[in-house]
Amino acid sequence: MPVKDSRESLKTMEGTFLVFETTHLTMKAESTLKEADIPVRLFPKPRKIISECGLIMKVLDSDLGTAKSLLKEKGIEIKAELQL
Amino acid sequence: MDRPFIYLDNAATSFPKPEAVLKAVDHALRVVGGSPGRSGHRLAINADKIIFEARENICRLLGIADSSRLIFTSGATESLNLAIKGILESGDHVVISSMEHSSVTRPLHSLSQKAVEVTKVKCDKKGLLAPDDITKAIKKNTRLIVLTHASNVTGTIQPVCEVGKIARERGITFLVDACQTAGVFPIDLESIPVDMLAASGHKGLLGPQGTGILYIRPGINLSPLKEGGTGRGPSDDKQPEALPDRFEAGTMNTPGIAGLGAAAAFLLEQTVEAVRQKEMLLYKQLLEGLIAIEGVTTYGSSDPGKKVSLLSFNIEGLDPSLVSFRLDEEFDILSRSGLHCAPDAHKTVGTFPEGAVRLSPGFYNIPGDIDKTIAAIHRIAKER
Repeated sequence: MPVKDSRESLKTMEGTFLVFETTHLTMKAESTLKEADIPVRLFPKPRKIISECGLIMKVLDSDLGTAKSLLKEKGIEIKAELQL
Repeated sequence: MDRPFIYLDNAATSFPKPEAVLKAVDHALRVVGGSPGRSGHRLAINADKIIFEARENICRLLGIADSSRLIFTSGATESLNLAIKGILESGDHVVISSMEHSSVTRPLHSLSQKAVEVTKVKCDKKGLLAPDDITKAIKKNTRLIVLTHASNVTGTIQPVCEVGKIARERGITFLVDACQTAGVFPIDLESIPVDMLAASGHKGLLGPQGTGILYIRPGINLSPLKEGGTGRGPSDDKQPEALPDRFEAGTMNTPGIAGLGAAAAFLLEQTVEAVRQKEMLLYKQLLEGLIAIEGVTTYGSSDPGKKVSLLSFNIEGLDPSLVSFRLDEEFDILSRSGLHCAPDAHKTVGTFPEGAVRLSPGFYNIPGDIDKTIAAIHRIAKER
């Protein structure tokens, strides 16, 4: 059951996270990826990350490449990528 | 729903609102509750989504490609203040028309005390601007041109594309006040030369009062009108540069914006073209009825193609306030009399200082409302 697996995996605050400059861009990125059936989840931003948005978005490693190219195609700039 | 009155004051604020708007406001207050841009819990994130979706819906409606350039405000007055005060500096010159609302003329009056020079270009008696007159008014230090898309007194649609081209050729910023057109007249900001567009959320856009928008084209740099918390950002004292946060300090009006977003979705479904067609049928019915009544004078362009659905009129020898009062008291018809916060516009059409009575049919009016209104005005005029 890969869907259940990915949902379970998204629950933990460990893995690869994307950071965007504003809440608006984070929402746009989340909406864009969900429309493309790429599962993502938002988490509060750790203190050490500086951006105007207080949220970070977890993407499964298996989706990372597709997600990044889709965001680039839509002009949604990724401010940082981090591993937690 | 049957109502014990006929509401013809949609140019002031549209009423009633679509059911989806009421539900969205209720949902935002009852279920969502969180503060957008603050905290990381589910209710705050749900509030973020409401704001985001509302922004996206309005951008689809107005042909805006980059939704981060659409700012939510408390209303068009704040939008216009932000656009005007955010760009003009001492020594700048600004050109406006003689049909502008007080939310343009008052901020400019205030700036004129700080060495901003203002030129008001006179429109004709029907309230129509000649674009050549704008060209003639431009000086070396002209920084901004402000024009209403359609006057709230005459409903006359102004030649914004022509004026926009004049502004663009000269590198002058062009601000349009779309309070009377957004939601009721097709606007595609990707294809028209407009740099900033301000509108109320609660008129043709059918959202709740306390909402407004300002579109700022990429490359236009404004100083914020207000500075403060934008939520989760860095804890330094500098207002962020990134939009929309730069201009949205403070807790947002989430319930209002939720309603506005639902209203935009409603308009996307209905289509603005269909809304306009419906409103203009009512307008033409009203115009034809009123011009046939002896003693009635109507104002604004006689070409419905150059109008939005609002009609100002007077009955010879009668105070417009009295006419408006009698319509309400004796006939249950709600209109607006006076100067409509646009004294220059009334001076232009020759109705200053008495003003006029304004009737503005909206999406929820029906032909029977207009028949009753024409009959009521006929009776008032006959009884003079």
